[in-house]
Amino acid sequence: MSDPVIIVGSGPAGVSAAWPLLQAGIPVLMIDAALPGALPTPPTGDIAGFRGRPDRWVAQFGANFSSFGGAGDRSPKLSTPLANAVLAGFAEATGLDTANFLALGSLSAGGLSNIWGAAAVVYDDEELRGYPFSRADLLPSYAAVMSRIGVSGPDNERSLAGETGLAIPEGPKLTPPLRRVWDAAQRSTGVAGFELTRATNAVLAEARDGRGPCVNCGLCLWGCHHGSIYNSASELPALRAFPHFTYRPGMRARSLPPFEGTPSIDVEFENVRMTLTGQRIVLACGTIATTALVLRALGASAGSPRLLTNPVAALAFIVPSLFGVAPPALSFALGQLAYRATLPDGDRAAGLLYGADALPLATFADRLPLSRPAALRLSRALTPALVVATCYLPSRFSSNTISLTGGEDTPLIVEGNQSAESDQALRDAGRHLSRTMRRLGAYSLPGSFAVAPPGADAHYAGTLPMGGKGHTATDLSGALKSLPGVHIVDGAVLPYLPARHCTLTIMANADRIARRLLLDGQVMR
Amino acid sequence: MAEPTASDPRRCLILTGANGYIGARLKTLALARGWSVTVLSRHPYTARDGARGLPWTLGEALPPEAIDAAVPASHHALVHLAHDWTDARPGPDEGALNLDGARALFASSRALGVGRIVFVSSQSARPDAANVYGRLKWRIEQLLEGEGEVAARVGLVYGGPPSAMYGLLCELTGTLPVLPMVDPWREVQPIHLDEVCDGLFRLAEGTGGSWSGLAAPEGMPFGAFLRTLARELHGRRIRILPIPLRLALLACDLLNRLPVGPKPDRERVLGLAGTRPMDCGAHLHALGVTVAPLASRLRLEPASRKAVLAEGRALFAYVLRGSPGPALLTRYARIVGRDGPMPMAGILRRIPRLLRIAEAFGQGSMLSRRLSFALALAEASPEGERALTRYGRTFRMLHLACDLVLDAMLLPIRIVSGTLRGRRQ
Repeated sequence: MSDPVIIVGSGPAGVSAAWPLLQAGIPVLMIDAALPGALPTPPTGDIAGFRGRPDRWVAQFGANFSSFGGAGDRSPKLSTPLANAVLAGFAEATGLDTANFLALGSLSAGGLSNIWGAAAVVYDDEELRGYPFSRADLLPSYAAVMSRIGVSGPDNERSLAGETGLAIPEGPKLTPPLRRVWDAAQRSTGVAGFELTRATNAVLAEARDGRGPCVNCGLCLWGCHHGSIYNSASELPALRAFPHFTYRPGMRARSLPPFEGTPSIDVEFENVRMTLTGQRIVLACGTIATTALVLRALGASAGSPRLLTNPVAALAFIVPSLFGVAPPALSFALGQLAYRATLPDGDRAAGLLYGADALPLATFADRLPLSRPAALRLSRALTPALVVATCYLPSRFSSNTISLTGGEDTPLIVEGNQSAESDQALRDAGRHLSRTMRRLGAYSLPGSFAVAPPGADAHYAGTLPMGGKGHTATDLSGALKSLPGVHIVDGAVLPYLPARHCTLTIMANADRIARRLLLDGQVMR
Repeated sequence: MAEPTASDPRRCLILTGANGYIGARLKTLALARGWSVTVLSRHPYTARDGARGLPWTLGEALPPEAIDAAVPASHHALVHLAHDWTDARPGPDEGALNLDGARALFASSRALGVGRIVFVSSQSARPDAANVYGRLKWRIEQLLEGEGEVAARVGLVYGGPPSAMYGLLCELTGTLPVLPMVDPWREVQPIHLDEVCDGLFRLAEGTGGSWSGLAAPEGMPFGAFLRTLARELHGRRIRILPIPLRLALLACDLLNRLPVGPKPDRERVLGLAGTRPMDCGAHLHALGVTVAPLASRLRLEPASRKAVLAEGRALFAYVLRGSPGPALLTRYARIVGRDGPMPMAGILRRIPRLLRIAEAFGQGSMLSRRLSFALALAEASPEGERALTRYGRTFRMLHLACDLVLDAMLLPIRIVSGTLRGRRQ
């Protein structure tokens, strides 16, 4: 058997690249910085029982209160014990030095997919306009990935079913305020430049592969104990069933040494440095970690690439008739409805609409200018009636850079910048959304609009763009001209981010690159 | 308890003053460390703690039975803590009882071959000390001879059971809103009781020269020390009123004549007023003793935890409008315990509803932060869920409307309170 293809990282991109290779009989060695050690166990039961459970605090704050202190200006899902455990150690291990930028990453098996919001979006032709291949090239990979991970939700993806033959089952039930908005939207004649759909999520509607279906337990924020929400670590057992697949947890990629002939990578395993060689090195450790490896290999010639993100804001709406009702017994804390809004300059903003009944009340109470007893009680009355919306802009509004000060052990500097144009566009998008929601019976809460700091979206991309120019550009197979044999398959190679969520596209692109390597005969058994 | 080994034979501690503030703790820790302890005491020793008691009165020689025949005499250490406070009348014969008693004890110990003599002295030990105690301690120090004999000049000791000077200061800082104090700017060097004991063990084991200072290497104003005690042990903010020494002595005399209340000692007041800085950093380093910062060390005291629990009880009662369970209070103590109790007026603890007025507008103050902590913990508890689901929707809405009206009415007061707090911080 020939040398393996070495895949760095067990996140969604790494796993998606591994599948086609393994199915074609190509030996794969997946190295993963993940150390053995369980992530916090998700709570069982449902949200109704969870609210008054004596041990709720453990799930909410962690047994050592590591997550206590509120989310601040971050998403509530980033302030759970699970998120803390998933995100722990990444900045230090990657040598990050950030300025005005929230740089998230993970050393856990499955990477950031452990806390993925599970929005599964298939980009349309317009959204893929900046890509060096057509949508038709990507559709088979979209279908393969969606079929593999299991998605549910929409009526609106019927066109996709037509194009790929993939049937998408109905997703979790809408919670009351979202149901009201959705029903009103169905009765409405529509608003120009605004499109509202059911959200498609990587959430199972039916049991499969040891994962249970979503039962609307509403505990999504703390980790899904049914395994309904996709997490790439859940695919590792299936991958390990291939005899030519080897998984090495605890092995961290340190550098890409100069090589001639067989590609190689320096790794660290149990405090021992060693060099691995493979027929191809596939980097899938997440945009920031992958970029760190590449910039350190390229040295000064790499310059300071742009780091694309989706500038994001959040705002809240209230459905008045639900104010003060008891919280629903069944819930769903991920995106329930999705929208796209055309901005005055023709750009398209997008976002998801969430319920708020499954969120900790402190998320809202801390923002209310009331005495604490009143804030607590008002939050409880508000949350069953609230719709929380995110609002994302395309990556052209982001202006962050990533650069290296020197060699392997020098910091990787990420500088974030939120332009006035971006803020204005977010406000425009918020106003557009507010107008439409008002027509649908949901009214914006004064003072709820908040712009998140750069990087808070965790949609990092574009540092090593496919079809780009310069030393850091990659080709259609994610290969860097200056580092032959090294292929990038994660978000780093996406040349552009539309406003909608990119994770499914990253996975589909990783799948596409792996198939291309097979087709081109660049990898062998 | 550690077992002695051939290479580390059992060490024997002979202790005078074992019923005092330092002595009692030293005895307990010595037994925990596996030392054999012999207590020399006027009263029959009845405690069943593993220590051996021998009758002895200040002025008598060391009883020969104090030496354990199974252990070489050189492995015995005498720690002399006993002090007779009745022997404090100034004059040519001041302290004769203590001085002669120490002389007899030291001489007999030398005669019996005791390996180490540690005399527990004071930071105030000086030939020209303001009080008899300081002058006497200095004179007893002069009785020490040779390598195996050492004096420990102890600074202002705090922590542990609230007795002696520490007990008095705890009582005063826990009850008086304004504390009259002589020269509150005078520097003191506080050291925790356990740190003192640690130093005494090192000295008893043979480390240290003719004298060693056991006190914080850096001094702090006595007024700041008192304010820290009030804040960390009682969650109180007190004011210090500087008063002349003469007035303080007069107050001491008056208080001692009253049937109830604190009984400050003239000798201790004079000792504090006459304290001078002691350079002991090198001593502590040589002994290997680490002195923790006062505030963080106080937060480990049971009194500090009790104050945090009282604070939590008040905040939960305010947020929940009901009593919190012990588990919820424990969680609160775990969260804020490392920062100690928050200064809080006693009336707010007794009538938590008044927090509605005291709660400043905005999130900047310590009270606001702690209320946010309490809110987050309360919500994630069965008590919180019960409080939020206690009534039907109509009643809950009426209640909420009342809350909001009351909030609106109190808003001006809260804004002013927040502004004032902001200026103070």
